[in-house]
Amino acid sequence: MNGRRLDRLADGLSLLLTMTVALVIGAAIILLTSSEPSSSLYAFFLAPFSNRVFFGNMLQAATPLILSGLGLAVAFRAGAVNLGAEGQVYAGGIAGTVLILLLPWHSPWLLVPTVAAAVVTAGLFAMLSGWLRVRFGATEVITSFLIGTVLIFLFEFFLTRYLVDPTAGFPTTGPLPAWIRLPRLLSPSSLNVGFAVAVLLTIVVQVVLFRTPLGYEIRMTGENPRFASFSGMPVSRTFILAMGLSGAFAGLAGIIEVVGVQGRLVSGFSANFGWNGITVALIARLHPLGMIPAALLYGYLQQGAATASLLSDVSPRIAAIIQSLIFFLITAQAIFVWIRRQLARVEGPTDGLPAHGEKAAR
Amino acid sequence: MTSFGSIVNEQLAFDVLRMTTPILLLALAGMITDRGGVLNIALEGLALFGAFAATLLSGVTGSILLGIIGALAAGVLLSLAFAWFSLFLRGNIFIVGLATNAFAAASTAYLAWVISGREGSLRFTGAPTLQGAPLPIIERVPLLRVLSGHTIVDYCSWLLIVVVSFLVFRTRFGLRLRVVGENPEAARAIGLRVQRLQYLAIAGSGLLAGLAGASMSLSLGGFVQNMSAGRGWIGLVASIVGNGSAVGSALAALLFGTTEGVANSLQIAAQGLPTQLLFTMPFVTTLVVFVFYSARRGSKVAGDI
Repeated sequence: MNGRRLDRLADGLSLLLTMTVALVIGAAIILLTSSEPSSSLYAFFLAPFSNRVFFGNMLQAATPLILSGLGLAVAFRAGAVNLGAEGQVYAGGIAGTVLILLLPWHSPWLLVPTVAAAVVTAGLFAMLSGWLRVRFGATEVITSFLIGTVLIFLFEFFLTRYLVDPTAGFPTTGPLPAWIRLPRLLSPSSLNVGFAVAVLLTIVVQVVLFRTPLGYEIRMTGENPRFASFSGMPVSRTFILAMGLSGAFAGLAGIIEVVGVQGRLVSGFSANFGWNGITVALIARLHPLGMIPAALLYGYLQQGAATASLLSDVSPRIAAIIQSLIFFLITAQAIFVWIRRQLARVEGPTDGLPAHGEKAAR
Repeated sequence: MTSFGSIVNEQLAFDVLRMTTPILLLALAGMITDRGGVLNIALEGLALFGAFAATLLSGVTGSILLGIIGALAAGVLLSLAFAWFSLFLRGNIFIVGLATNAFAAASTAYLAWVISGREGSLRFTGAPTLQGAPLPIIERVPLLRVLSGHTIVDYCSWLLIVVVSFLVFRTRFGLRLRVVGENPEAARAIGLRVQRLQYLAIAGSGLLAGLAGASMSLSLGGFVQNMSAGRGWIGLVASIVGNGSAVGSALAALLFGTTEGVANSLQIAAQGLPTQLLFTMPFVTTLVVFVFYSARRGSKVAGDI
């Protein structure tokens, strides 16, 4: 077995171990805090597969995470860290909604400018952080977080001040017109065409990242900016562009949630899409196609927690705890190194150091 | 509606100092780890954990002191998990920091729900709150009296500027820590135990961040989910802008605390102003200051990208 295959195997096994540990701890928490443990465990782990609605909702919950994870992975690949995706989701949601409300025509084709408005608005705010880094050396880690936080406050401000439906009783716009809503797939679940779009985009990003000059530039900018710059690549521009792409995907996640699921712009509509996208990207080891299983795992946890709170006495917040444990564990490079060493010992002393040692947890 | 002028007074100065406390403590926490070469992204979560523990312990025991001790312990405990995952299990320290924040937010919200049966907050009836205590002579000196009447945690936070400064610049531990931060390889070469020093620095930041959390929840008399509300990040920026000095970090914290205090006073004084816009003020100020600082310092990363 060669070094690279050994790496992959060790990586897969460490991911498996991580998931198992996190799920076991999650089960333990449910056992400890639930008064009806067996039905809670059933509701959490199996109910998502028990009927069409739960199953559809599980796939739907993965949709925004596939999208935000894709964008964040592109940014990570270019060495850019976008901590403002949460705010960019809201920026995309509101920019698209405003366009729907402003334009006088009634046609499903309006989806095109709507999505464009969402993607461009969110992308520009992310690019701002990239530009501040390139121009002033202000690290995007901090600026993207601060700008993202401001965006969330601005979203709430514009929603409650200008767009709110006063009869609704909580901060939301009225229902958006039917012609702008995305077609449902597994009705009556909330699964919609957005899921197919997200899956399609993983393929597109996979191809762009690994089969085009732009993708090569993005990867080189992250792996070795000096080399990239010496070879004449536009490193600064690529960095800003990668930040912009991560924002654009966050904005897309936002508008798809609005026109696909909610059907209106609701206060706090993003269930941590931006933040969870980071973990999803890391679970997928920054591989675009890997976003689908990684996001499905998160969707499963989310739907499991939702059914458990519906059918039993578990708080839906259990999902967030298990997710944060996974987040912790996937960073643990030592687990990967240890497993690889055990594998190498079984295989015989043919291999050197892990080829992508540090990079796996990047 | 009152005019802007009427809120610029001693009351505002008093409020600003009160608002500065958690940011100041977090800035000092960030400064210690920064000196050890660790960008402490976890401050936000550490403070949140401390805030929760303070509410829980003071609520159950009825003692403010036990609440504070609980916050310190919680801060240290979570900071050690943060350190263990990044130093021993070799996780990317930055990602581990984000994981720490996510865990703190998720676990405190969940526990609050389990204990109180309510979403999003934890409050015990009859729980003690931090009370202001006058300073003997200063309370009668005009202008200076804004320094009096604060809580014990506020006074502690001012003392800690001196303590942290002394610790980092006048003790053997501080000297070694700074060597580790400047050049870990060199530190290792001269026989310093790099990881142990980093563990200690992170634990120290856990103490300070835990106390910051206590100052938030104990002055309010309860825990609200995500009550740290970005202060960990603002404190982190204050420590960066403070350029590795405790006094500098404190001054930056005071600046950010001032915007928060002004935003707060405006909210009370001028009812018409939208609260969400006022809430953006500390973040916008922090952003602008951070960008100016980075531009002036001519960051070395700028050349790379």
